[in-house]
Amino acid sequence: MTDLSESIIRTVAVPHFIKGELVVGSDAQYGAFATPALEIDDLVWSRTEPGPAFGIPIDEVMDVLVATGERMREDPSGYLADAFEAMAKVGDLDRGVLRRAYEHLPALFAREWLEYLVAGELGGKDLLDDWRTTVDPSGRSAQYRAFPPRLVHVLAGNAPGVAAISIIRGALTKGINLLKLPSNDLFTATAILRTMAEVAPGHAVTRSFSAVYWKGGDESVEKYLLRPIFFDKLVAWGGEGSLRSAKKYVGPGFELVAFDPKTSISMIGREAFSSAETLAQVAEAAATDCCLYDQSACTSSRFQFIEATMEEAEAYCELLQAEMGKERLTASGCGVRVPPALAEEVEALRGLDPYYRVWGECDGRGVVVLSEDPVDFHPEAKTVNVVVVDALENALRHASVATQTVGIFPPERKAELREKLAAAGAQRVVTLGSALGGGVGIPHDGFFPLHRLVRWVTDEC
Amino acid sequence: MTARETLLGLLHKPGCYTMPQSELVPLQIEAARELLAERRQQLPILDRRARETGVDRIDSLDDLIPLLFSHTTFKSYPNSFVQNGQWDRMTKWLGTLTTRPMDGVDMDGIVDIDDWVARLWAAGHLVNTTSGTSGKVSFLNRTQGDDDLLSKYLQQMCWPDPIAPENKHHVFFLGPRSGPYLLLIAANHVARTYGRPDSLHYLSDERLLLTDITRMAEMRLKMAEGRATPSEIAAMEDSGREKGAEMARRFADMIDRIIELRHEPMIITGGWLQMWQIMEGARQRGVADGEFHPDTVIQSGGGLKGANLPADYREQLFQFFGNVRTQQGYGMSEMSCGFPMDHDGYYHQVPWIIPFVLDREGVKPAGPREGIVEGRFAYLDLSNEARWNGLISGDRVAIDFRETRPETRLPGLVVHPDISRYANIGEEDKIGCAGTIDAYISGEIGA
Repeated sequence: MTDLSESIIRTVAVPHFIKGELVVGSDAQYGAFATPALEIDDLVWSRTEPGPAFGIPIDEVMDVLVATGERMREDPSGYLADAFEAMAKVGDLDRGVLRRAYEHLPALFAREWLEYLVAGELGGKDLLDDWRTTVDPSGRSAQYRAFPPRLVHVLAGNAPGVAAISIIRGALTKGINLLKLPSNDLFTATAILRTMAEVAPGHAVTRSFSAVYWKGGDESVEKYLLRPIFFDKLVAWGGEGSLRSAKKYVGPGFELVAFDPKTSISMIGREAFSSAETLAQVAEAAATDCCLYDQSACTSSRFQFIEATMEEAEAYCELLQAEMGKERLTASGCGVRVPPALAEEVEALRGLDPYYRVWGECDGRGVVVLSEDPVDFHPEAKTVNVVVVDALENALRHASVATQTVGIFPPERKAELREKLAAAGAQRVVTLGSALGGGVGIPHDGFFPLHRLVRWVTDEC
Repeated sequence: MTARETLLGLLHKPGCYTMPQSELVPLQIEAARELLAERRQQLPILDRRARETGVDRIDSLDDLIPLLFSHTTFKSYPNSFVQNGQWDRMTKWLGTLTTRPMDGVDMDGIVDIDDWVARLWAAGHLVNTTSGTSGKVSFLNRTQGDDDLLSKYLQQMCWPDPIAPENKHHVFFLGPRSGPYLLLIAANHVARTYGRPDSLHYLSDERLLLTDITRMAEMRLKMAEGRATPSEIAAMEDSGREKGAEMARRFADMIDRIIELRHEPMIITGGWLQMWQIMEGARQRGVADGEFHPDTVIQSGGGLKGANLPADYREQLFQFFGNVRTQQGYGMSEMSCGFPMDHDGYYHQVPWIIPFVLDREGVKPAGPREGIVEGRFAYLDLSNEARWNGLISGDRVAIDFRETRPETRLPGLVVHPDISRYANIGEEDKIGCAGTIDAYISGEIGA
């Protein structure tokens, strides 16, 4: 009985947004939250007619996005504020980190950023409105353009920026966009779309979006929805489970665009020890990278390879652990406790001095494990493994296709390492401390996202 | 006599598995206090946990919950110790979880992980192991005293009407003859106590090797570092297939032998799927229902492990085997012994193992210890001499704390027959962009 009454009190109503309209209801129960019942017929746009925004000029699309961003900043209806509160209650991210992440969302919708995104990721705004002509060496001419796609986005919920950037890119394609909400962010996408519906009610762009929840892997939805007769591409953000499920449906005419699940690392050269001041700066930069979103993101560094003697590394680890306990733009001072299973791994290593040394407690203020070989576990919740190497080249074997960002100190050594890292599979090299990037207008996870989302069609002579 | 000795002394006494909670709980609290005080002196990892969680005194059983570990602890050694053959470091690691000194272990010229385990056994550390799909092996230390308790526990097969240990049963064990798995260790005790020395049959006479399991971990590392070749990956998959074919041949021979001897008492130990295959094989050979000797013991347990059997598979099996005996229990390799099943299909508490029902997250009690409580199974086993044995499992169970109930003829705390698994914590439907190399290699080696 207690269970039942508790769940009634705790159940949060999650609204859906379908083709420009808000839909409320609590017919579908998922334990802690409830959504309107899902009508799968409402989630598709028939191929017998073009999508609502297919013929809208790109400048008009940008006008809608810019206006949406401006209204998000003021948020007179409180949609973003409500979404923030609901997210904060779930408690996956520290309240301060989440608040700053929300505050940053409107800036993503600024016109200069939209222009930069299209220019960088697509190669020209003209391609979205019109046909570009090319002539091959034989004199034969052809025209091509970026045609609006039909997209299903499987969103990640570890940072609210994922919802915002998915809506921005989705709108810029002029295509149709079905957003599948993750259980760890049921609110951000809907709040942005409701704001859009206020600044552009009934507009073709607004009608090109739906945002709903179903349980990832639910065959009664996915089996019928994820088909080439309805959609061209599945855009999946990480999550091994969601990718595995997506794989079942990918086939001719239905493509997977995967922002793969990734791990990030740092490489610190012996130059870090040139002075006490430098070492302190390096520790701060390294802490910034590993504590990104309290280490819940793919860009958060988890392993740091350092050219040092054991004694040098110990001095560094002490500084690093202290820095990890400081609050910064994208990190809390004290985050969530290290999950029990991981904490047990860390505690076990504490007993293996001198082969392993541990700084900090599993209390959310940061844990540093120093070793000669990388640990077996996946460090998270502000846990970082510092691995001593003779030369940074020796750390290359730990970079793989799962490696996303590699933060390097000093920046001058990026040039010697970046090609080797790329050969091993890594995708992004940054100066240590800069792992959080703008992320638009340049390649992400090995491709230009907007370029990949649109459908490239040709008209040839 | 200490409270702990009193609890252990209940073995083979009438009412051992049916004691009222009103008598048992005060003894358990007292025994847990004694044991915790002693183990905190011996195990820094436990002492640290107690300090961190602020557990100073034990006034109720639930006060022990913060001191329960997950499976992780028993496989928390760095894999590099194994890959690099650093057995001294492995020994040091095991030492951090062990109450006894590790200095008697002969460390000279250890060649592989099986050799290391053999040296541990030779020094009186009778470790048993478990392995997950990741290829990382858990090591659970036991003393001779722990092993003696297990051996004694097993001398009451088919409780509540135990069979006398008279070495008159043919023994069929559907697994390898030996190895450091608790199931194999127990099977050997059973064979010694109940089996006819001239008629002990194993699916394989080879020792189960941990090297076969750690090789998989090695392969994963190779793949992660980009050093594996396609043919190595293929060879890995093929070796599994070849072994499977050889086992199938031996299993068919064993079914023939079982059928030959079906009019004499035998003990068949194996998984439910294997029992099903025996039934199908026997029926193909024209064996009718109910032909087995009434003193035959069918010993099985665990879930179906993905096997596709009809919902009423147990009913069908016992219709086939007929009026035979059965020995089933609920437990895990980390426990000193299982909770034995009564005639009504419920599992009864072993007095020295304190069961807990925790919430889904495995943090808090799912409810007060009264009536029927559903949740995650955890336990503290007060018997183990070699280690602190408090563990949070992945099982979803219902425990009936009532003294009596209409469903069972015997009183006492019971675990309900329906047991399922929780999804791993955190794997529900939360999606994040962070991931590991595992996502990129797991498909290929089918782990």
